[in-house]
This record gives sequence, C-alpha cells and structure tokens, in this order.
Amino acid sequence: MPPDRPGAPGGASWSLMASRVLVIEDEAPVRAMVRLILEDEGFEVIEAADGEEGLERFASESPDLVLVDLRLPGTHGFEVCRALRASSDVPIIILTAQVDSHDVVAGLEAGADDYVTKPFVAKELAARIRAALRRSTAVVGGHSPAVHLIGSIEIREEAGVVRKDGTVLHLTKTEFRLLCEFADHAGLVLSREQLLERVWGYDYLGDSRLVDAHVRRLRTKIEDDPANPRLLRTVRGFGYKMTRPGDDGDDGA
Amino acid sequence: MATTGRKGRGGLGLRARGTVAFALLALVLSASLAVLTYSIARSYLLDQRESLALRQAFINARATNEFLRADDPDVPDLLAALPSSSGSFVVLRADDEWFALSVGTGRAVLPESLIAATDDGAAARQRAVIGGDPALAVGIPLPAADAAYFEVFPYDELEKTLATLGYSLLAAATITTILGALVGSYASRRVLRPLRGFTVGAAELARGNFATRLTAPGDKDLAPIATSFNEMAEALQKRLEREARFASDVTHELRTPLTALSAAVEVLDRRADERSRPVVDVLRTQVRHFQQLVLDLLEISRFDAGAVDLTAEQVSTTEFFASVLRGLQKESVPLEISDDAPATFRLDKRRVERVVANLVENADRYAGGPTSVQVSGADGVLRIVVEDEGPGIPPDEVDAVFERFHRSTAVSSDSERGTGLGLALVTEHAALHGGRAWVEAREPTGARFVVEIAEPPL
Repeated sequence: MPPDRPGAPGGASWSLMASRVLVIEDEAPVRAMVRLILEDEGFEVIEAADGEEGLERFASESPDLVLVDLRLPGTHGFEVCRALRASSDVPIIILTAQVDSHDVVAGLEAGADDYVTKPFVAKELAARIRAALRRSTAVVGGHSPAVHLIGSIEIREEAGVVRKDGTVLHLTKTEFRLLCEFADHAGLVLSREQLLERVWGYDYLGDSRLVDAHVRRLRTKIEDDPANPRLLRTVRGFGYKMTRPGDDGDDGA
Repeated sequence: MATTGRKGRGGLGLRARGTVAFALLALVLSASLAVLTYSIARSYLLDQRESLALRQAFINARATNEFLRADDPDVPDLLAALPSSSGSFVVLRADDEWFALSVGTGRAVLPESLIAATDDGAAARQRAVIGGDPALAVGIPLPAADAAYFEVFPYDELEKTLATLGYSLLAAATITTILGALVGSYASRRVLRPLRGFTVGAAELARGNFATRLTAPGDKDLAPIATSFNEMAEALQKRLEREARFASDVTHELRTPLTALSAAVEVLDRRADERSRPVVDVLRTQVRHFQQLVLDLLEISRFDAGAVDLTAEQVSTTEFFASVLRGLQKESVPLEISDDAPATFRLDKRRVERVVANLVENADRYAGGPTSVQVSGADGVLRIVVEDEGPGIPPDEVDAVFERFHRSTAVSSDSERGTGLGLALVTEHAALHGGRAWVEAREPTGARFVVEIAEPPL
C-alpha cells in the first residue's frame, strides 16, 4: 500500500510548503548548509546551536519537525529527544555520524521517528523530512473499521485516539500509524519490510531497527508488562503479530 | 616477539627432559648405593667368614695336637673325626708324611708360601685359588707333635651369597631408575599442567576474545606468569578499545566537515551558471570521491579495530537482491535466482548491499558493467555471483585484486577512480558473515566475482 493515501495529498502538499523545521546542530557550517538545502526544498528553517537553545526555540516557535544532531555539547541529542517527547508528538529526525553505532538505536528509543546519517545527500534528507511530515499530517485509515478493541486497548482510527482501560494514551503519529497497521491486520504476521514500506514509506533496504525501536516504544505504552508482551508479539525470524481480539493472548479484561 | 625455543635443546621437550633427568638421578643414586652396599657387605661377609674359619682351624689344630701326642695315632681316623664346615677340608703333615681325607686335596693344592711360613713356626693364612675356586687356606704349626695342620675353606658359598646380593642390588637399581623416570614424567606433567591454562588462554586471545583472563594458579612460582599474561591481555584490550574509540572519534570528526562540504557542493550545483559549471562539476566529482574514500577508510578501520557487529535479519532473497539492484539503478542487469537458492536468508542487509554495490561498481569501472547477478546456495550458505564480460582478471592478480589499494594493471574505463578499498571491503563483509570472496575466469571471456556468506545462528 503506498504511503500516499487518498484524500491526503492536496492538503498535505499545501501544508508542506509552509512546514517549519527546527535544526539543532552545533556545527555552524553544517547548520548553514542544511538551511540552504531545506530552503531550496521549500521549508522554513529555524536554527539552534545546542540542546538548550533547541528546546527554547521549540517552545517559542512550535516547528512542524525537529532535526537534531545526536552529538551535541551540553544537552545530548538523546536528552533533547526525550525532553521533546515529554510534551509533544512532533516528528523528530536524528542526524548521526555512524550507521553501525548504537547511537541510532538509542536515539530511536529516546523517541526519534527516523534518522539520517552524515554525510547526507540533500535529496534524501528532504525526502525523509517529507515522509515524516506526511506521517504526522495525513489521515489514517479509510476503508478499515474506525474502532478496534484489542484486549484493554481501544483504537479509534479516525479520531486518532487510543485508550487503555479508558485512559487516553499519548502516541506519536508514527506509533499511532504503526499500531493501526497492526490492528488492521490483527492475527497476521507483518514483516519488518512490510511495516517499513507501509508506515515509513521506505523500500526494502530501509533499516528495520526503525521498526524494532518503535515496536518497543509501542509496547511500553500498550502492554501491561512490556517485557512479556501479550498484544504485540514477536514472531522470530519473520516479524510481528497483533493478537486478534478474542485470541489466546487476549485476557478479555 | 621472536620464538622462544632454543635450538641447543635438541628436540626434547620439557617433559622428556624432566623424565630423563629424574631417571638419571635415580640411576646414579641407586647404582652408587648398590655398589657401596655390595662392597660393605662383601668385606663384612669375608671378615666374618675368615674369623669363623680361623677359629675352627685353631680348635681343630689343638684337637689334632692332642691327638698326635697320643701313642700310635691313626691319622686318617682323626681326619674323618674332625668337624668340618661348609666344604672345608684338612691337610695334615705329621713328621714328614702328608695326610688328606680325599684324593686331590693333598699338599699339592696348598700354596707353597703358606707351607713355608708354617714351617718357619708361625701360623699363617692366605687367600688363594684352590681347585679352581677362591678359598682361604690356614696353616698352623704344631711343633710339639712335629706336625703342621692345614685347613682350606672354599669361598664358593660366600660367592653365591654375594652373587645373589649383587643381582638383587642390580635389580633394585634398575627398578629405582624406572621409578625415577616415572616420577620425573609425572612431576613434569604436574609442573606443566598450569601451563595448559596459558595455552588455552593464548589461543582464546589469538581468536580475538580479548576479554580472556587467567585465574592465577595456586602455585606462587607460576602466579607471576598468570599476572603478566593478564596484564598483557589487559593492555591489548585497552589498546584495541582505544583504537576503536579513535576510529569512532575520527568518524565523527571527519564526517562533520564532509557533511558541510558535500552539502555545500550540492547547493552550489543547483545554483551553478554556465561559467562556473565546469568548476562545480570537478568539485562535485572530487568531493564525492573523497567522501567515498573517507567512508571506505572508516569502514575498514572499524574492521581493523574489531569494532564491528553483524546485524543479521531474515530477508526474502528475491526481494532483497531486486531492491539492491534497484537502489544501484541496475534494474536492467539480469538477476538470476537459482531454484536451489533459499527463499529467505538471515544476513546483514547493509553489509550485503555494500558487497553487491562494490562488485557492481568494480564491473562498471573495469569491465563495462555487470552482465548478470546470480544468487544460489544450499545448507545455510548463500552464493552471490557478479559476472562481467570485460577483459577478465590476469591469473597472477586473482588474489591481489582483493588487497587494499591494489591498483589493477587494467585500464579503468571510468573517469572516476575507485577508492581502492571496495573489493577489500567485500572480503571483510563476507568474512564477518563467516564466508569468503574470490574471483574466477568466466568462459569465454570476463570475470566471475563470487561471494559466499554463511547464515549466522539465530
């Protein structure tokens, strides 16, 4: 299923034109180049040279997306992610120097939606930002049922609301879309590649650590015992599966 | 660190040397003990025998003296009546007549010097060979009866005893030597046993397990070796960690200016006009090459520092390789997945993507592009083949092409030079997957680059 869903594109592309990106990067030359690239791509750019300034600018400017370098002097990129997540579901993309490093995973765990490695290609950076903005603005669902009840979790796709035992859960847009994807296919195994394509809009070569990190984050929110998940299960060597309502894993509470 | 074996020691190991040394020591000790025991026993027994013989001879001589002084003595009766012990026999001279109990034991067997000494009026004794055997001859003059009493005591029984003793001592010495060898062998093994720990530890280090440490053996003489070993392992590990950290720091430090540089070139590229276009093109090409070189160097330095791990995941073979080719904009190259190829395989997507990308780039550069990409496999091994129809690899270069910065004699058709690390990285990525890479000739023309990777355990 293509990430562009019917009904979304017109409004989305209009909103992209006005999208404002907060760039938190300590290296002035990189920051300046990112500004030029993003302005060429039609974004409005707000700059911050460190974590503290980044959080201040975020509070005062309310950008549509945050691009944050992981290695910042003072407040580390991880802390910036966590601080942002505490109050907001704004899309966060981390900039990191190493593909291999645990930084990527740690950044995703801290709440980032995606990552871009340095040195980046301008087109790819822009594409990632657009994809993240699209996930955060586009309407989920369509022909699927508007309400899912899985265990103690209630998902209202059109309203964008998830409740656990009646309490509203705060999910990021990416987490919400991931949860909807699982709920729409409850009882079926979804591979990491399928999820990357459907939720992130990436092709087969996307980094499946994105999926793993988001599943872990989702579990901490929806599962009673995240270390021992009953709703969102790992199918080793294949992917993940959402328990179908009424199945064994459903405690019926 | 040179070899520590000394040539002068021949081929003998510590254990063999220990065994031989102990055996020699036991031999020397037991042999000298045996010799000492034998000679002491021998002289003691001889003395004993002589004093017994003398006593008996004097008693018999006195009895003979008494007897001869009686009237008309019957000498043969007397000789038969005298007590004899252990084969001794008596020869008697009375007046000028010689008497003996049996034939062949008369005057003739007595040493002349003994007879002469006795004739001079003194008792004498002499060791001599009598009748072919060693014996002690005792002569006692009996002047009152104008006679001389001779008695011969053969040593044959004593000799037998001494021979038995000698054999026993020889046997004891032999047994002691063998026991010494056994003790030596056992002791050396005991001594060497703690060294087995070192052997295992060193092998672990060599295998790249740098966290290996030895527990100090109870022996306080060996403990320092374990301590030095652990210090060495510690230093090695620290150094590797330092190198890995260095590689990581360099990565960051280099990527930042590279990021700014490549982004700047991209911005410049969009804004270039007619006049600046050629300059921007050179800039863009060179920055891209520089960037790839730095990235390849960083990648290979992470391998050297051991700072790599495999992020393996299950992929659909067909989908994965199709998307790799799509990503390389090589959809037109035929992708041949053989029937025996596993439908799914666990691999590190990024690394295998780099493997294929480097092989494809190599074919682009030297062989006019790849003509096919083939995937096959069996038993947990996936085989990736990239074929081209270029000039092929000269036989003397089939190994060298995988070396770092190997500059082929073949002419690159591409104006853009390679980094010289692509194929070396292919080897490293394959090795990390427990596999290998090689190149073979393609019939009738061209080269076949083959990479085999093993499926890592779940």
